[in-house]
Amino acid sequence: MAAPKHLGMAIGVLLVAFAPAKRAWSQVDLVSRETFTGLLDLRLSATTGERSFVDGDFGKLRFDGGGSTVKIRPSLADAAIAWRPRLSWAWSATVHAEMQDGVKPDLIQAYFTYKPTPKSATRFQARMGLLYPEISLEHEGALWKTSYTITPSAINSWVGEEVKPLAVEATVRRPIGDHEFSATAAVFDYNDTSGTLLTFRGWALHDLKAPTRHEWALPPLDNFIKGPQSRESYPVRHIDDRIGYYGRLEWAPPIGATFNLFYYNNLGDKTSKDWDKQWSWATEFWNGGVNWALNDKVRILGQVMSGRTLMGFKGPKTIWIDMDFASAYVLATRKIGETDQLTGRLEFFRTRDNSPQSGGYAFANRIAADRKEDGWAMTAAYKRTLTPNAALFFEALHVSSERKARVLTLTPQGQAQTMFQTSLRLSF
Amino acid sequence: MGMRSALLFVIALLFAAPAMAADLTVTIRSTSGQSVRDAVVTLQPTAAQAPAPIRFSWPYKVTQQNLQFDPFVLIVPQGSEVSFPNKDGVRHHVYSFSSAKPFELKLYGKDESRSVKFDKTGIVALGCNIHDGMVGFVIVVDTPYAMKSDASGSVTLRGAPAGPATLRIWHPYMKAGNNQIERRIVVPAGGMTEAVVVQLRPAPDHSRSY
Ligand SMILES: [Cu+2]
Repeated sequence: MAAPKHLGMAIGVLLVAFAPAKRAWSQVDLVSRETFTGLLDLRLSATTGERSFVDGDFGKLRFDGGGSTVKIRPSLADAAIAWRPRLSWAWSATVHAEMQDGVKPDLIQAYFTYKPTPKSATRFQARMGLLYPEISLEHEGALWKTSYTITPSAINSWVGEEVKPLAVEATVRRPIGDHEFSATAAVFDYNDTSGTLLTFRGWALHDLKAPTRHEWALPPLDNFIKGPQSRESYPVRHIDDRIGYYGRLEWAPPIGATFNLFYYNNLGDKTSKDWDKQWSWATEFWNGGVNWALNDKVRILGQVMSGRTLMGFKGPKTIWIDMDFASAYVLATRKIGETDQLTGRLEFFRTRDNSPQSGGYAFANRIAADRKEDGWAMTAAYKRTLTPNAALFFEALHVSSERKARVLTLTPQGQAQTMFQTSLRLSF
Repeated sequence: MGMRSALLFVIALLFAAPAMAADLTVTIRSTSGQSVRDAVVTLQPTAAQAPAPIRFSWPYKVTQQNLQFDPFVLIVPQGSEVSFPNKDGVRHHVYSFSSAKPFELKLYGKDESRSVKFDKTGIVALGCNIHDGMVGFVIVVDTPYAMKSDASGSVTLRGAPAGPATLRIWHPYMKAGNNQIERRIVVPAGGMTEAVVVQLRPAPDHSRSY
């Protein structure tokens, strides 16, 4: 297992390279009460339809469905802790670990933040380490929890599971007139397998976050690809020696709205692999986002993502895997009184397989290899803030999808699932 | 002091001293018809004022509570010490880069306080380097006729001298040069009521920060 060791070494190098040399000791706060944030998520779910992808199936949700009946499951969905020591007045660190139901306990994020006091209207911030790039409009805080619903959109569910690089990122913000602008640029590694789960399983909707040293299970693979590719995918892995990059632009005109555009490319070489059949995927995508506060009570969010992922060698016709993916959602949320919030979300998602008869596979089962998918989902959520440290969520979610590769589990290509969830979030 | 200069001094005093004290009420509404709170109304009489220390009735204090500055807008006379007590369980890092008073209060915890002397007039925008959503303003003035509007968008400046004066209305989100509009008025001895309509832009959205 070389990967965790490499990762530890990389974080260590960052620590030595970037730890503040000059210490203003009065500004140092390593272990006081306020450096710790924790959260417990107590969940009761009732789900119909397929078995969850978490167990290596094609189910789109976090919990197993009971087929045509409802499967009820109480769980400690998540126990999370973040440690945010302050190393100097401009340097801080975030170490975030979680025990998620369905995933082995693991480190989620670990990064340094450099944020000097602004000396003018131009502000600067840098982050370095294992972190979530700023793509999701639905997550917030050190623990990267969803704000409006229990379950994030398909786009941000995928970000949570396969877009977590070891990055060095710099952001500059500045107002120009009444408009606020920000630009972020980053280089990264350790995200070489990004796209694997999306390719073999398709889109999903869940609030799980990528483990750092552990794996995602993959659904059954077709006869060709199950030779070279493992049934387990490690989302944080350095396989080829290529450095990827991402960038983000944000514009906030004085109308209460913020627009952003994000581009990611891990520049994978497609053909490097680890001994345990983890491949270096070439994954790139665009994400556009809008966050519009119509007034004090109503807010509209939307994201559109479109990308492509490739892996493997070139066969007689195409490379082993060449898949386009796209999704979009619109979310509307309204505050009700002082404590309540009602949210609705509608989304669509699809994948298109450009290599359904790839490699040596052309003579075997074509349909099984086609990773084409079309689907949509509708979510309604109600959140009540009980105390500053407790919130109660109710959520109803329906997802429907057509996926050709379900042939591999001998189930109909079209599947629908409905889930009702209650979540009590206790923070400390 | 010669006879001539003594006479000039008396004449100057006569002109400077308010012949009559008047109450000036200003009501501020937005173009959409809503009352505008936290607008700062100042009146600068054209005639020279007898110098006197300026005192306002409210405390010169900006508390940090619930990850916000309270009050959002504070008016203080030039030369005032303003205290910044922290009532939150977390530390704040209060700063300003405004030219009227660039300063930085490094981290301090619950129930601690720091103070800053504001020796120049102007608008001092406050921020917290840890919590991007924390925004506040200290307005440093050299006139005793200054006050911010209440929830009904109204301000009454009491005891203003009758005569020509400059009326200024400032709001952090006003759509105008320097977020301010200015009017030349003549305050009548019997006082007056002035209605002002201003155009506001939406407050910047700081709800999300990583
Ligand atoms: Cu703060």
